[in-house]
Amino acid sequence: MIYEYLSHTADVALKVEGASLKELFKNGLKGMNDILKEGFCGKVNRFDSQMTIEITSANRTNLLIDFLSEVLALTNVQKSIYCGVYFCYISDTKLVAQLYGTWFGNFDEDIKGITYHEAYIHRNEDGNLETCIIFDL
Amino acid sequence: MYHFRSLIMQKVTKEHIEKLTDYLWEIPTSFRKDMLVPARILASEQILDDIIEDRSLNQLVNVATLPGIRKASLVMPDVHEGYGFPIGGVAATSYPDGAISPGGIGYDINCGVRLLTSSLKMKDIKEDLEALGKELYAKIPSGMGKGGQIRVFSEQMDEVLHRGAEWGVKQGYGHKDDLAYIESKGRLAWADPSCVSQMAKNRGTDQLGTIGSGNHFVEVDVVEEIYDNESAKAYGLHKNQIVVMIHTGSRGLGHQVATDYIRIMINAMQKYGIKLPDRELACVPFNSEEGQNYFKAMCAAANYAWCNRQIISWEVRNAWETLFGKEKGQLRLMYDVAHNIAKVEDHVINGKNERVIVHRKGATRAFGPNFEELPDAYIAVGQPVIIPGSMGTCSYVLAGTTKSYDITFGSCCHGAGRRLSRTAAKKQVNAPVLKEQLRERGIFIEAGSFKGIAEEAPIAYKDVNSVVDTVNISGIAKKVAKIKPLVVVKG
Repeated sequence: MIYEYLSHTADVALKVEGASLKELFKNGLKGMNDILKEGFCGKVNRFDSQMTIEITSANRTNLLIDFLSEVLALTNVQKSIYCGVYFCYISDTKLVAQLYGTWFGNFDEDIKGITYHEAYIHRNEDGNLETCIIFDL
Repeated sequence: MYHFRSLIMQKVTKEHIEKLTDYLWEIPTSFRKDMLVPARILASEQILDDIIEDRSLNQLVNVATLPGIRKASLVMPDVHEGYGFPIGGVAATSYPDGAISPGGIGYDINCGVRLLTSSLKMKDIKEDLEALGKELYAKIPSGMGKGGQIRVFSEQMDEVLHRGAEWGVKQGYGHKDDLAYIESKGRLAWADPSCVSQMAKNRGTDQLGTIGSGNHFVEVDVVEEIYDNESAKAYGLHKNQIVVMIHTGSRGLGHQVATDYIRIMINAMQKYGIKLPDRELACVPFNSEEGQNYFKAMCAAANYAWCNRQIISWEVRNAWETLFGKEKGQLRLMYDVAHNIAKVEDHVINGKNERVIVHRKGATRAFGPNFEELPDAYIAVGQPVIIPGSMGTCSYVLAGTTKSYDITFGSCCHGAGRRLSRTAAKKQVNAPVLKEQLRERGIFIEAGSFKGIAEEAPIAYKDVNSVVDTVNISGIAKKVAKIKPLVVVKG
């Protein structure tokens, strides 16, 4: 399972997994997009916009949260859900990524913020990278 | 099963809590070494037993570690677990060098509630409820993706951020008289648009006059019961009267301000030697450059929220006039209160007057009589406090009291408080069935999706009656009126 919903009174909590940092970030993005508009990316057959982003953070956990926050902001401004992502460069503290977005109608949910609370990237028992992400809805 | 990181910490249990009064409980500083002040819970014993179930009290203990915190960290009876701060929390830090924490205000800066009163009674609109719901749904955009009808760019946006509700009135979205009936008159003077990022401004371009999703709504209610005749009369409330409640905030602009500054503060904390048990508590000294920039940006976002609720009121007034005509279609603004905000206020601590930065996250200001900001009609009875319940239960109007200054830095609860996660609510609630059940009880729901109805079902919330009874008996606010929903419009 690349991500699953966890029970959390505050809002929505996702457990995300990936074999590598790149895969973990991609799966985190998939999870976020499914909250915004469930199943939308599975039906996308064209991209309407492209963006390049560069993010620097203090560590890999913060980098994931900052990456998702940046994509969320662009989603809102550009009215595009970024179902496609290509990481030109990714390390524990920096990434450069190309985003491919598709225009959408309305969201299912309005995400207010992506929190650092509970987020911590670590290796799980299966050897995958894993973290929890709590979204403020 | 996934183990949340915060579970590593020692969980607060009843054994750790001391009873101060029947409605005030304390976790002493001896509970954890890093606590600078005690943590206090305003609740009946029954509500306390429920609160202990989640991790909100551990989060309250974490708040008690904020640099410069004064007297106690506090939670109201509607508290529930959040991220960093609990929802329903109040924390006052010393001015000017105590901490300011964006997490203590939340992502939805100046999320708040306003109540409009009409001259109509239940018998006047009984047959029009369904049509009213459809008209309101058509006139008020949710703004979830597509945005609203109004666009503000560059200088205009800066004017909105500077002037708040005043900008809306100036553009014709309401009456000049409305401004006196808004907390801080709908404008915080510290606002500085230059401290708000371009990304935040871009997100706010097309969201004025939109409600968003989640627990935000526009609701038509009937006044079911009056508890305090003097206050009700002052507020212009009477039994069987039709009123309209609006609940929303600063939308994407406010969310982005919070996101931007939490990130800035996480990186700046080391510079100020601040270490905290949760990154979402990220803070800096209020008088630092980062602290001042955040406060000015937060004030700007708060102004945007007041302008947003002002424009939504105009949309509601339009719908009202369409259905009921000009004469019967007037709606008066009773009051507008914020429940996610930080304010610089003066309070008495240990017998001395002190200036503090009061963080209210899911908590409402509840100032008592003789507060000079209040309109003349309200001075003798205190500030109105509006407490929404859930779509199938009821809501309340209360009046602030002077006792609230002593106990809660002049604060009160902000709603019923969630008891179920959205995921759990969706699993337990059949939304089409719920919609029909509510309709049979005379409550009409107009919503963008069944998912949204399920997440906000009455079962997802605590009993608002118990929460309000607790604040009423404890004396931090007094019950004025109970209102019951008739039409609920959601994004």
